[in-house]
Amino acid sequence: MAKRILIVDDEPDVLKLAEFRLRKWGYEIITAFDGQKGLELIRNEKPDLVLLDLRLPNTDGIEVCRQVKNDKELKHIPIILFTATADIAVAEVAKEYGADDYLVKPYEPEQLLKKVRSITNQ
Amino acid sequence: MEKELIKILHAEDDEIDRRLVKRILFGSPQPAEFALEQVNRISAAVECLSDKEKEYDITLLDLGLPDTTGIESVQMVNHANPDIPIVVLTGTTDKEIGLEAIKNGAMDYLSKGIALEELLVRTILYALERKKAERKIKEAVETKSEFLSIVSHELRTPLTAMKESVAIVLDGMAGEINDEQKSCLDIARRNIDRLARLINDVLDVQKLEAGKMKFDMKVSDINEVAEHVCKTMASSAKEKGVDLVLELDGKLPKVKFDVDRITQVLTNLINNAFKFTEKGSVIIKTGKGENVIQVSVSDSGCGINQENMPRLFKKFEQLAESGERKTGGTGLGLAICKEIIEEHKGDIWAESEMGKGSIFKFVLPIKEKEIIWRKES
Repeated sequence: MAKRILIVDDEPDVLKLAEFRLRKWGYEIITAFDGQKGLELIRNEKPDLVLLDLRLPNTDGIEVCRQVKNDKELKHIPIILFTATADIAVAEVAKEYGADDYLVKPYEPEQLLKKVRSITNQ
Repeated sequence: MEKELIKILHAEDDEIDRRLVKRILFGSPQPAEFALEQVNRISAAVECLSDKEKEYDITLLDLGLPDTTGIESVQMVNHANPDIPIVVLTGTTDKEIGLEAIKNGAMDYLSKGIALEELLVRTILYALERKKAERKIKEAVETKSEFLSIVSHELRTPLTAMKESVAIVLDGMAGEINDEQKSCLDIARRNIDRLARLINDVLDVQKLEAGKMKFDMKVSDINEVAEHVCKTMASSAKEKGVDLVLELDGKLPKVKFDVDRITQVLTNLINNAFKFTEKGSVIIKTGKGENVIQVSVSDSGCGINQENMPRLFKKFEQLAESGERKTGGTGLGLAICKEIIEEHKGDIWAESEMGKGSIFKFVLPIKEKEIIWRKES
């Protein structure tokens, strides 16, 4: 069965393109534009992976990540931080909040594939 | 117009000198109004300055206080509150120590015996003006940093969408494309990548300048880094038709460095070598020098004109044989390399002969040097 990935990003173009690519690669995709909707989908849908932008309206990506990783029911869900902010140490943020990996935008498609594949085993 | 009130802390243990300063400040009309607090120990001065509520504008400091010695008192006062300018008052004979005080963070110095009456108020006002100017500069630098980081984020987002749309079409995911379409999109992709590199480089330069780049110094093996970089660059070497050769010294000691940053330096040097080498080879060599490990990247390219050598590591300088920019670089790569190597207390330089190629070398210290105290900015 195809693995399901949730993409949370407030930039519709970026979201649409990542969705397009990942669908072509055979993943099932669900999407959210803000942190609150993202959390809701994580709780209700329990995706196999979350691609999570950091700067989000309502609840930002760091807070989403923190809540998921502090929740016994949810913390097994892998999160890749997906951000255009390179001036903060994304690696450190990822480590601090328990994210599984990170990807800086603009990303190399091969990088995205590699990370998604290794986490989902698909 | 109402006169400005200037709050002065005066650290002096000699009663005569204390009275002298008092008389100058309050004895005759002055362009500003003064509030003076006098203490006779450095410990009391430090305590006063650490108390943020006291809000002094300036410290007048005697270097002969009983609970400290000379220059140390400047450092202590400066450390207690670096925002408050210090003017040192010395005895008549020690001019040298006045200059030394300036090197250690004092704004100015005055000899107590020489024309103090005439100079004291002027020196205080000057010091305050200069401090104001310094604060403005600092603020401007911070604003610039913040601005750049926001701009960088705002530029990256549309670039991400552009890069991905082009990549999707190029990858054939949106249907088959012909060779002409492909070559046009290749150009778009290359230029998007170039723009992304430029943004990264500008951010790196800004971070290095502001001292905000973090270095993760760990004892590591330079040969492993060289091998790794070589592996990741093998495909672009092939594309370019240049041999990428590794010559590693297997007996090198491990030294402390930031693996990601040194990888960045080496990648940059190799990319440069590719740019200026039409055919032949690029050789990466590691070796040991006196208390250093050395890494060199040599190419069989066109070489660098001697008169251009001093420009190599400067920002926004790009060399091209015909004088036009054509290599698609940002002109920041080598400047960034230099800053990174210098942060490691190492050195980087180039040697070259026209027509025969160039060699870029950098060294990293093997032993940790003594910790050098950097002046707080």
